Amino acid sequence: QPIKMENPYKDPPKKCVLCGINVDYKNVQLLSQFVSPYTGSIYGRHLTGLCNKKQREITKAIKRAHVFGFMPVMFKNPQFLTDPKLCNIKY
Amino acid sequence: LPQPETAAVLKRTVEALMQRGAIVRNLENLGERALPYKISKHKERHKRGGYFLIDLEASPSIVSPMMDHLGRDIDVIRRAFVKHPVAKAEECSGIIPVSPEEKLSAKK
Repeated sequence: QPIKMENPYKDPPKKCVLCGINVDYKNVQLLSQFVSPYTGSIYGRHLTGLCNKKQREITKAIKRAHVFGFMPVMFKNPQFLTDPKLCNIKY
Repeated sequence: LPQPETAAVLKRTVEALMQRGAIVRNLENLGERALPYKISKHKERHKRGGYFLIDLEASPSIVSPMMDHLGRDIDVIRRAFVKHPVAKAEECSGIIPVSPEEKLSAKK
């Protein structure tokens, strides 16, 4: 008689890039990775591929960093231009 | 801003905070660097600034008088109060796949 059990071969749920990482408005490097280098606009969820919670946290943190004077608004900090690409965007 | 003046500014703010009954837990210096954009404040255009972070414990009625006080201070370029981020448990369950029918019915 087959016993009822959950699928043991299921993969663990897919994690987004920032799944375990704490997002802070102070680490400008992390926040700049989700901003366009030409206009400084924040990438949408279809580009970053983050889950709901993390996308909202990142947007709030970026806007805070703009107001407090940590991150430039109209462009990306040239110091962080050579960071590894996290968003799937083609220039 | 030269060093003794920054020390004086910090001392003034901390003393004003303690006067209104705030408990200062920690004071961090995030370094002095070029501001991301030029800020004009108190009839002066600023390009460089020092960043300081003060850990506070206080009642919320202090916020508006403190913002006034810091606004009148010439040496303070920008002021802000932020809630202490409580380190929540790392329970990120990952991306839960949503079936396309649910998406269609849920959205307006």
